Amino acid sequence: MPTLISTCLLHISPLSCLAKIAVYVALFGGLWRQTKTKAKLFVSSDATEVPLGPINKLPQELVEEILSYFVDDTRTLQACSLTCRFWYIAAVRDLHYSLTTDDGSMTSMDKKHWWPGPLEKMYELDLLPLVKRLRIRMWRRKTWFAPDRLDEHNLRYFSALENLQELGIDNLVLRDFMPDLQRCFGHLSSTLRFLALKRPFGSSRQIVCQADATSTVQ
Amino acid sequence: MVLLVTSDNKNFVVDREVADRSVFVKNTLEARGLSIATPPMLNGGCFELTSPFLQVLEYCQHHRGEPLPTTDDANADENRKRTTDIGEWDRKFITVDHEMLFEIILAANYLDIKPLLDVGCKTIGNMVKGKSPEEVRKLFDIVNDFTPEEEAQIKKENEWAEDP
Repeated sequence: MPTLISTCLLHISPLSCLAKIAVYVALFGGLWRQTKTKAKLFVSSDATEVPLGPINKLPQELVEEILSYFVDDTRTLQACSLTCRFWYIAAVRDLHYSLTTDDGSMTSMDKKHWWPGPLEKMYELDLLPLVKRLRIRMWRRKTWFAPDRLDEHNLRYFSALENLQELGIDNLVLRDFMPDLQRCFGHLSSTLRFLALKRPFGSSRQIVCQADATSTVQ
Repeated sequence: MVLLVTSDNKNFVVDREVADRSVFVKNTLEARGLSIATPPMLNGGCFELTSPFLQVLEYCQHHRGEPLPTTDDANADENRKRTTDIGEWDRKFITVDHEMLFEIILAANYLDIKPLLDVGCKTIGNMVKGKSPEEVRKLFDIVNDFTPEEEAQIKKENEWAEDP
């Protein structure tokens, strides 16, 4: 995989120096490693025993299996999460699997996604460790994801994404971005299994790397 | 023919092809080179298999000879979860009361009969789909054990759940 990523970079940016390639290799060298999932448990100080209905005699894994059919049905998952603690624990993992944020320059986009809204709120609610897929959409060439805009305050959000498996960044200026790739996502090298970096609009090139060793440059 | 003995000591003589629908039974027979499989204790207690086991046997007999799902096909697993469709025979078969439905699911899980487990889980999924928390609680006799503060917290969290 490191060799393939290096090859990708050479194709994308012929001017990239070996040092930059080394950063990539060091950063994503562990892409294929198994992700350690950190279960978020619902803990309450005044938890009391309540009588269980027959369905709650099913083990946790089977309730999760049932709820896994709603991976595309957020509304039902939300309802299940509000049913009881047992079901909340089974539902919360799928509910916060995916997160999208953008720079808000496209007025047609849902304001809910505007940076730093989703990351900030989910950080406050301690939900970021549940996120497995992050998509960052930038519509302007110079945006918040530029080196001079990412301060320590913002970087803490990325540090909390400790179980991220898939990362997609759209409209990315590789040359500006590369020094900050490690600052933002360096800690993910053991969990990340899929990376898609798309170059600015007008360019058809992008980098796609997968943990199963199918790396492509398109 | 093989002899299956449930944990409450009831004997069932079935064709090997039927017994092999259970990966657990299949592996047990192959590992021991025996023609008798005895489900062991579950969770330290006796797992009363006889009642759901009759249903499970009926399912296995109906589906005998069909290809068994492979365990390492991630794409097939993903596709399976995209649909909650259940075949006509399976739908009629699984039309039982809730208590029996849960018993069948537990038995299918324990005996490792993935297609039957799918039918059971999809059936519950279809019951739950589109319902409110209160309706789900009523349907399955679930007690709301949240404090008002916990419920408010989850509602806040749910505001940030992303639509696929």
